[in-house]
Amino acid sequence: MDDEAIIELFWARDETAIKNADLKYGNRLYRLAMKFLCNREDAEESVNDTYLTAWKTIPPQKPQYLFAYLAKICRFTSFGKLDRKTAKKRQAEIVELTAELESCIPASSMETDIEGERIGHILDIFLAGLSEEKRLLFMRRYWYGDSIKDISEHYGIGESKVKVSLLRTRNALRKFLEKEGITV
Amino acid sequence: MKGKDLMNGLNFVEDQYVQEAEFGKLKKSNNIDYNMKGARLSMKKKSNWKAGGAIAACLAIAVFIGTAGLVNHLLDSEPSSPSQESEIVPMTDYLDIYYLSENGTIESKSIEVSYTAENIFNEWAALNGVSDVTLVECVYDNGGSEQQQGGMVEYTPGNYFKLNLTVSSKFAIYAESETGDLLVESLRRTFRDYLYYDEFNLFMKD
Repeated sequence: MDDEAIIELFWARDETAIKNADLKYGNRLYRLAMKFLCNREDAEESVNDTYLTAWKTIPPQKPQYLFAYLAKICRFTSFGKLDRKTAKKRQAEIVELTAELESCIPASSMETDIEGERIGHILDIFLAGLSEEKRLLFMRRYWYGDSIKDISEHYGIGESKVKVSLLRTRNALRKFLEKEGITV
Repeated sequence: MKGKDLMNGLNFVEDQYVQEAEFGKLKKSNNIDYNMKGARLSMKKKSNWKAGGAIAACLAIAVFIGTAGLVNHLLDSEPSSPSQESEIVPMTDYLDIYYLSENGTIESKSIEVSYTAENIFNEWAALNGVSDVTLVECVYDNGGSEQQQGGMVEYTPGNYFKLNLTVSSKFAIYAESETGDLLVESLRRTFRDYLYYDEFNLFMKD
């Protein structure tokens, strides 16, 4: 079933919308949640919460990209679960990603509080200026939480190339954040 | 702002980027064709290597003198001639260094290396048993052009990247051996993982 038809089911308050969304994207969402939570039960719960949130928000929302819409909810929900759980083992993956991204933040802005939406808007501008290849690699690493090895295998390119690309993109992001006045 | 804020901020990026990263595929690069052409062209003209190399090296130097400042500005701390490296604090990261294995195939080994052209070349040379060959010059040119605008010089960056490596003439002994082609190929691959380029040229100089 195509995305438009699934969204129509949501709008018609037809509960098969969730079943169809799960059939189409359930595995992808589960994999995403597992990347951050590293726990089957938590990941399944996160995916179920995703469908529940989608049910509550469609309508009024009519997403252009259904998978992206669900994946965002799933990532957000998973992060929320991570915040509530403090087990070091479960946080190991995300700690690594966070540390890598921390290198992008200009030193003088470490203490500045900036809301997520504003950061998202700034990142949109930054991502739009990247080549498609760099953007894909960056998103796979930091949005989807893929390992370097996974990215390398997925795209059939060397791990070094992935690392070099990510390193350069992080350096470019740091410069971009400075230019955007994140230090204010 | 902390790294965690950036991770959370990513959740607010436009849906199109999320969708693209899940379903998009990398376009096949045409670098290999160009590069192979560049490398093999040099190998076929073995008898003219020294003379051709010297001319090419002169040209490379001329290109370097004309554009090095601007190119290096664009590249920030990326490769430069070895003589300029004292001004730069190089990054350190793992890089796949390619080498010719005993069974005649090209293999790679991930090595932590300080990211300068000279260091990477030295790692490659050591791994391939050609440590007596040195890197003379590394010129990375994006094909940009300068135009005089009144009293100002305007620089327009290009989008066709050439990597010209000049190595010491001792390399000729290895390059002319039976496995010379593969050796050049391993060098080309090593630098491909270091820099993105559309064309790879190898020169020799005394």
